[in-house]
Amino acid sequence: MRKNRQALKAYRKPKRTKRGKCCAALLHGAYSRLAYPFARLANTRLTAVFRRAAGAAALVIISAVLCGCVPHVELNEKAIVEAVGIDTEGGKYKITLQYFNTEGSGSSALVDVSKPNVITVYGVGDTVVEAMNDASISCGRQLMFGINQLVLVGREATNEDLSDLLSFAKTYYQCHPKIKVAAVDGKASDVLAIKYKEGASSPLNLSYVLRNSVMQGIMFDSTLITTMEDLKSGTSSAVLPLIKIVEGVTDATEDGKSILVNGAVLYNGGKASADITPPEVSGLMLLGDAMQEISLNAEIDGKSVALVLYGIKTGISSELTSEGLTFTVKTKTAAEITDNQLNTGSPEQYLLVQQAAAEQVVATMRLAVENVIKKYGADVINLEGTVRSRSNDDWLLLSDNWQRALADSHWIFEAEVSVERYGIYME
Amino acid sequence: MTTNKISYSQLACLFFISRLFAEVNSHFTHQSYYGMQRFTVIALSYVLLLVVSIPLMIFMGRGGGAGVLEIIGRKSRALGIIVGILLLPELLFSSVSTLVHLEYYASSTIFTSAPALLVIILPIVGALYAMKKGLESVARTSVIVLIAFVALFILIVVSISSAMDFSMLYPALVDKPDTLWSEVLAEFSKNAELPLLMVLCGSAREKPQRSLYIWLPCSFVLIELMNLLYITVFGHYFSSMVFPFYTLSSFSDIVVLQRLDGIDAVVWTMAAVIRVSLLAIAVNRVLLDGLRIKYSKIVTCALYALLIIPVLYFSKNETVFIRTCLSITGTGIPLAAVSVIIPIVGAVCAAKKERSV
Repeated sequence: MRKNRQALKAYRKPKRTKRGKCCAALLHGAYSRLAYPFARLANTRLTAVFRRAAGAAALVIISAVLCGCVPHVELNEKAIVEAVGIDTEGGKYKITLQYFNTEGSGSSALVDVSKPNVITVYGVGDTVVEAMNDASISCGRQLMFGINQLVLVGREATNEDLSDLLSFAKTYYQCHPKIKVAAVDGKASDVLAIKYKEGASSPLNLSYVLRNSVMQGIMFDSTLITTMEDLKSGTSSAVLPLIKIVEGVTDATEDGKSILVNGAVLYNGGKASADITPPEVSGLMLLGDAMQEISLNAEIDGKSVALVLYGIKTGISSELTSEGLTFTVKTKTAAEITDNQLNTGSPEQYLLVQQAAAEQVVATMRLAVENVIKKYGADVINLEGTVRSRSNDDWLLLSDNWQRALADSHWIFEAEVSVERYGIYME
Repeated sequence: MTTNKISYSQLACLFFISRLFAEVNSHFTHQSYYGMQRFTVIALSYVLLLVVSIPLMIFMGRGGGAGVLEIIGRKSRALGIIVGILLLPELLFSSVSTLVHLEYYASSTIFTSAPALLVIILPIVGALYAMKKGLESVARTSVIVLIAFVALFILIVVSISSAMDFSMLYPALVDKPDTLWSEVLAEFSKNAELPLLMVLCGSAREKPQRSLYIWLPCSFVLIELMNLLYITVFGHYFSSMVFPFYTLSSFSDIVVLQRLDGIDAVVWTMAAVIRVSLLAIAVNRVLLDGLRIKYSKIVTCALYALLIIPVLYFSKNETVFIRTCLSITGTGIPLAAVSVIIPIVGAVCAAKKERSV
């Protein structure tokens, strides 16, 4: 008994000689007390190391046991959503969700090709979130949007306010801000029904198509965050890539169907206003300094020269005069000749090629200005920022009638194309 | 071995982390708007902070390394009690505010299914344990949090540099003159660290005023930088954001790490624990030096146990909290009053003591 009391005293007031280290100092008291029952059982004096080890073990065991006290959802009870399709039918929202099928890949076999890698579930509701909750109830899983790849908006649903359609991102905080957002010429559920034979999952392949269209200069990089930012601009304008289903162009899918990015849908005032053609999208991308490279053909004496423009830099400046708002666009780009039918390669001819290419660049930008910016008064390339960065007073004068000011604006274009690469075989 | 004395740089680190937590997680109570006025608001709030902290700087220069409450309490017990009564509500309100903000942040982002009670109780338990261990342990932990934050910030800046659009900046310092001063006062009211410094300046080994010289410019520069990131990356969308730094971190993408919001959650949870720990230590000091309560640590534990009730209530009724928060602290008056009056009283007491000596 006396021995035990002495042991108790020793462990309650441990020697302080080995408490130099910070961690030990922090946890020393707790460790000694937690280790005390073990010491009594062993009826021996504990060493500092044993005390700490026993204390650490006790803390780990307690932490592990405490995990069960917190309400949680196991991973296999979650629907790990990879793609969302939003359609409207009969005044209600119809949501198509594709979530990761745990039996299709992972677990014992790396990829079990006999089973689909995604499972599709549908939900209907008066709002997008309500429809998602309906889908969650249907599949009996909690929705998790952490690795969602894309959101597709069906043609009918484009008539609804885009901010409302994307409002689920506010409810589900885990939504990645870089989720691709696109409109579909038809039903979003039809695009999500396309099953790719190759790759990790079909939604991933669909997002790759969108990513490639950005890299090839066909389309803006339209993500959840950029779309929400655009919708907060003065004219609530945004551009979503328009996806069309094409048949018989590939055998990479089970039914031979594939998708094609073909132009875009223009949102103005938060709602879809018009479809934009691919050249108009290219013009907007050139104006917005969002184009990485673009291919074009220059015609010289009836002969064609194919060029790839790269290193494209566009700057826009504005001026408010008594005649109205004037934008001056200056574009500089390098070019590479990819196919040359001229067969001479004289410096004079290259000057003509550069001039023809510059004219085409200007024509493409002018097309976008006339058919999108001036026609709809849509600010999709942050012209507000251009005006404000010169003078905030100008913006304050224009802000109340910004759409009108854009529609009446004057534009001056300057383009400079410099052929810097001629291929690896000279004429 | 832990002591109750820390260096001025450790003290500055503690206040820096505490201030950052208030800045990052208070958007739902103090909404910020897109515009260059944001930069002006921050700059003016720091000018105000500098002006308000002049008496404290003078006191710290003459205090001879002792805390305000120690000096006042030694001179007059009644005055010490009055000052303690003035400081205590300010510190307890800051604790409630920090815990409500933490609960709201955690339940809205990473820990959506975690019970509110657990998110509130665990930091309090941690803070009370830290109070028992002393200021040095908290200071050392704050250095770890600072390193984690700096690493996170660098990763974010590197990964989103391409998404920054500088055309979002424009040459106008004031957009809405009618709301300018209310925004400045709201920004100023986030600095609960001034009363903390007042109470804890006696804990610095030497020259506690130097912690102010480090903490003020560093936090000012960093907060301006953070707002530069918000404005150039989010533009107008910044006005709609509840947790812009969280969105920024989830937006960041570094090859293997596809999003950094997990690190963000870890940093701010640790920062919240540090802030509550600091406040708990300050409350203990007020009870001990100001109100002369013998079992101050037990009373502090009891006070923080009681705080769970208002924190739980406010976390369930955020609108009430926002209204209360804005009506009380949003004016900046309580903070300014506490931060000016007490150091002046302290300086007078210190001067009288010198004369009598």
